[in-house]
Amino acid sequence: MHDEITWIRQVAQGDEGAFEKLFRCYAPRIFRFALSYLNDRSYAEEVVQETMIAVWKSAKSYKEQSQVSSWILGIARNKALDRARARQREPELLQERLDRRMSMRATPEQIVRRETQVERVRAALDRLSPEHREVIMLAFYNDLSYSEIAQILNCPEGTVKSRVYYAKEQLKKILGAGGEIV
Amino acid sequence: MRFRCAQELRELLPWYANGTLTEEERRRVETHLARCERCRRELREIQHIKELVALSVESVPEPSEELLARTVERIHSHERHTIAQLSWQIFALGFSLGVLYERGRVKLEPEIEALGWELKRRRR
Repeated sequence: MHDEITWIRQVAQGDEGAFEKLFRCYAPRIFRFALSYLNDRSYAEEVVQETMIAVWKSAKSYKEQSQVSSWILGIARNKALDRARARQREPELLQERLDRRMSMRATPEQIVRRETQVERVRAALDRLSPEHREVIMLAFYNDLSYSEIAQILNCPEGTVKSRVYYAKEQLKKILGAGGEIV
Repeated sequence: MRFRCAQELRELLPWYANGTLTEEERRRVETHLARCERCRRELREIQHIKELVALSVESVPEPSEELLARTVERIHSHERHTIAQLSWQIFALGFSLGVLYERGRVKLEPEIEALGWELKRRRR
């Protein structure tokens, strides 16, 4: 945390070495974060680039009251939402989205079953409101704390906690109807 | 024994599952879980949902290696473009000022001369 603030200060002075350190530390996190919004590798990489360029340009305006992670992921969220709006809904190739580990180890029957399960979960997530879907991804996929999410979404921590709680209840209900929840 | 869980504790379960609670919160949740079957069941459900959600996203753990180089190149290219644009703007501004000055001088000289004559005439 302390290092990150130092890096941001150095980046604000135009230090490329500090930018590289910040990039190596944050690129995988932004990438994963963007994937949860876009579910597409090349779009997610563009979001990483655009976010880090924005960090380079606006490091001087970073207010040290917020966590570095929340500030950077807040920028990434805006970039990902812009990208998602621009992309609208393009047809996705199921094969491209399959888990590599799964396809290497699993039997064809297991792959088909998993594929069906993945599709059901995606469909269930799509049935949530955008606000509920977003907090579910931030909490359950990106593993962010409630305070980080509150800063990223610019809302009180209590709102984040109750939103995740109700979103999870809603998801449980939808998945339960499809027999996903044990 | 039936136990009524505080909503506040139940709302912490997702954050217990993703490992981001503070030490103090984690201990409170664990103390509660030890005696509450309902919350233990809910935690299992949350963990299961978490696994399913992870499955729903394309599984690409890392961005490509050359992404840093591409990003730095874009920053440099943007800065080169900004410097070139700025230089051009400074040149254009200088040029315009020069032209304005020259035109102003040419136009103003006879007027200043006329004003001088008028001043002299009034003094007389």
